[in-house]
Amino acid sequence: MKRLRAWMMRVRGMFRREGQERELTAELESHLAMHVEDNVRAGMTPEQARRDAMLKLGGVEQTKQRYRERSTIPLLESVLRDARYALRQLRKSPGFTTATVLTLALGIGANVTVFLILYGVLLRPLPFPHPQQLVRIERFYANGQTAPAYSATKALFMMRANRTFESAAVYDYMASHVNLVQNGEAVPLDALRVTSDFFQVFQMEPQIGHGFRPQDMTLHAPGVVVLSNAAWRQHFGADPNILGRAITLGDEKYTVIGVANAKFRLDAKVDVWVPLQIAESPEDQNNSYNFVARMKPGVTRVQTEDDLKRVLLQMKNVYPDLWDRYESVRVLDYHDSLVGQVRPALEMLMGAVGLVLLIVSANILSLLLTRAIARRHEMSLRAALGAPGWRILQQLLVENAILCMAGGMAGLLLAQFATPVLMHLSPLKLPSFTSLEMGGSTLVFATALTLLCAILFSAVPAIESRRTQLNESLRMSSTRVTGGRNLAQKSLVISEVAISLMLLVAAGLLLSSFWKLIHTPPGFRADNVITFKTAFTQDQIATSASLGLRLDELTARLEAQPGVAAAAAVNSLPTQLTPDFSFDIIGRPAGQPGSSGDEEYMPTTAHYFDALRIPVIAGRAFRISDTHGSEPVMIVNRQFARTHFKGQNPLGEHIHMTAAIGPGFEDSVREIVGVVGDTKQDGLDAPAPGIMYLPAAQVPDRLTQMDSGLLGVSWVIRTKTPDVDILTAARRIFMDNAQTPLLSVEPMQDVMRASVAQQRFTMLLLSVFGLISLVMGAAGLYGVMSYTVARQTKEIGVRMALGAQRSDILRMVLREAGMLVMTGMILGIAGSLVGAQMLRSLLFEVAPRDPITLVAMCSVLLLTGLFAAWWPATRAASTEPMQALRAE
Amino acid sequence: MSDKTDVWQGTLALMALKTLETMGPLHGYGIARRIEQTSGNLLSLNYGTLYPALLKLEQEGSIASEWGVSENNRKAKFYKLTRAGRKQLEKEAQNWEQATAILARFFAPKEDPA
Repeated sequence: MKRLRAWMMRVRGMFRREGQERELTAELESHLAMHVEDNVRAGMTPEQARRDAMLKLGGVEQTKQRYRERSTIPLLESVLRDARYALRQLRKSPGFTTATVLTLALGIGANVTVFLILYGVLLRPLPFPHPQQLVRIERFYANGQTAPAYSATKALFMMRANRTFESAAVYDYMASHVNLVQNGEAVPLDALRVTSDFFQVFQMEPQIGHGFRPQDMTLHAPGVVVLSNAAWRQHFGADPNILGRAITLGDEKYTVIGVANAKFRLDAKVDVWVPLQIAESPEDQNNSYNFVARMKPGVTRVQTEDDLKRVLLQMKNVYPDLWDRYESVRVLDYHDSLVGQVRPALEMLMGAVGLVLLIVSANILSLLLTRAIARRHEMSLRAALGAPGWRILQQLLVENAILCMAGGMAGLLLAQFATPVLMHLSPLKLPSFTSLEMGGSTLVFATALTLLCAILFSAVPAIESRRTQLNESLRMSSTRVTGGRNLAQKSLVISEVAISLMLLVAAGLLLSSFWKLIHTPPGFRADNVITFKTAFTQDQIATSASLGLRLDELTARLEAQPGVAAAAAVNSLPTQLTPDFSFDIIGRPAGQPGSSGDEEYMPTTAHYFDALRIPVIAGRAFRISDTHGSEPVMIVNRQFARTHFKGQNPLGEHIHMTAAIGPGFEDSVREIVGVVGDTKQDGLDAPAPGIMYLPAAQVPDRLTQMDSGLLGVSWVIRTKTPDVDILTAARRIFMDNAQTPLLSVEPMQDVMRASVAQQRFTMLLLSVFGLISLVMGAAGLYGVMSYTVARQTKEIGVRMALGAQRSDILRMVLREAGMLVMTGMILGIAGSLVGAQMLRSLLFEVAPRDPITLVAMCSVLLLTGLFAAWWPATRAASTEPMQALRAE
Repeated sequence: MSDKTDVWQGTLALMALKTLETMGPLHGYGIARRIEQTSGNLLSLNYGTLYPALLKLEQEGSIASEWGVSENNRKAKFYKLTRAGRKQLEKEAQNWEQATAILARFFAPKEDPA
């Protein structure tokens, strides 16, 4: 208590120093006066008396100093004084200060930007209570493959037989489009069908009303709906009395029973949730649902996995047809399962941006060293005037801390500004729960980086202060400095070169990978094609026959528009999720390898291949006459023929799409009537899959209902020239004939661009980092070479006086720079080769140790290095020998 | 001068407290003179060291100060013991006595060799 009180008084003392000082002066004056009086009374002369009094006191100034040290906190006091002094010093060398702060701002800003994204996507816990208990259940096969989708029956069986779940839910593999019909207008919404416990699993009860009940899941139960907070605000004016309101989705009536919590966001945008009406069935193989569960408190994922394996064994007896001895189960952290795809790219970027900070730090260290050498005289002088070593050190540390703080704050500002710009330049599709707002963790991260830099930079003055030997450096002039310190700077440049090469190589690899990616022939022509989606009502997609007629009619109307070359409907656009189906090849002994398979299928209307200019290689394309009643036909692509017919002509062969996923899905036996070229249906970076094309009117009804409900129907329209505006007409045609608006209107080229957004983002960011590191490395080299040349002025003068030519001097300096760059490069090549594996998963058709990239980046670095060294070299070569010799 | 002892670290504050207890409110110069006199002029006291010590005591709340007029009609800053200071002094004095008693046993001639 006493200590605390004393400290508080001392802190207070700092603010009333002048008053205290005056008081002490008065007190000491009165002290001396009394002492002098006493002395005089004792018989001394006034001079003697005064002298004696002063002696006994031990000096007025010394007393005051001791008193001052006691009255405030000396360390804090001196730190404040040092800060003021440092600010003055930094103002006096604006070049150094600006360079350091800007460099640091760039380094920290880049780090904070990447951290913001990394944190928002990967690190920030999902905004639900106890998110670590949330898991996704996936199928896991003996061959190491996993499949994230579950069939309703298996999921429901697990939900009732497990012992580890607190709650669990099943929901659509993806949201589907549905039209909200309001005042005669149709508003497109994203709907997700979920089972009754869905909101309980996330522990996010609706803010108004309640979630679904078990009875809502029964077939033909009255339709109920939970609105998202956004949909409630946007389409219902945030009406507080929304509960019980009847709304129309497609052609069905629903009653609003709740408005979801505003914070409830998963990976994809959802406007409305409706009950998923599913039941167990012994033949159900339709794997099209996500399966999420909340584990009981204290239960681990491993325990849950073991529990579910037990349940699978149990299922063998209940649903023998569904049991597969190769199928096991895997329990994933739910958050991880949502962000698995962006994780490698983000982690790689974080590593790369860390390297950028290293380069930045090396550069600043080098600057600090140069500055320290230039200030040796000042420091020696201060030491000579009696400043203890630790005081000098403290002052330098304070100066560094101020630099770092300024850099850190500028970096935060930079990140705040750069992140939205970056997201605008290269839109990256992030999960919708992501928030890129700067929060506490970002500040902590930035502060930690700043501190780290401050500590790192303190190494310079710490070493420097130990070296400051008074006499020696006072005697020495600034042009003759021992070589040891220069070694430190040179090693910094070498490491800068090494790191920049590593970043450049990584950027180069991603760049050439991206180049290859966007120049991969997709197998069709994306120019002059406009795409959009439409959502049909349950009625409209009830049978393939009627849907086929409607699609043909809409297509005919679109194609009748001026400027339209061809139009077609299809279930999925290229690069977007495409369903697959298993089949038997007729005429091959059942059960033998090669008798069956599983490939993607695409119901289309007649002119799909025309619209996308997919070449027909053999046989024919679809015709308008391929209708519901006509002969069942199928067109396959080349990859399909390669896989299942070993390159033999498949025309005339017959395929039977089986009832494997459940009753009602069985198709008739089809004849292959054509072979078309391969397309990159699964994305530019994936191999072209085998595809079965079917006339949309001939698909089994159940399949049509499932696909058209879930995926909607996509449309492609090829116009004759790029400037044809078909959309106005198309909107009218679809509204008049199908009462549906157009969704996701995008030129095909944008669809393709969006499919490589993540690769573009990674490539762009890494290129920026590579560029920063190149510039920093060059600046570092320039600085060191300039310094070296300045230091050697006299030596160069002597050499020239002894007959050295200017070209010799030029060569000498360039050789020294070249040595530094080469050494750094060798280290950098080694680092690149070792670190190459980290990039493997991000590269497309480029080897992680691609020699061409390596050589190219080495040349870039070498040229930049020579460029940076050129000025110091020419400056050295233009030395006037006589002036240089007289300079000292 | 050589036979005079320097003031031991930490004891100066205790001496000042004790002086204030016996003499009542007193200014810095008075305290210094009094300490010297009490020690029988055996202590070599640097008067200047007294002021930081007084400041410390004041910061800790053991003494309080106010400006007044000395016996010779001079403006001077007077220090006086606070209640906390009195307690502090009691405690310190006890500690001191204990410490000296222990030391005394070490240096006393052995009376009881058993």
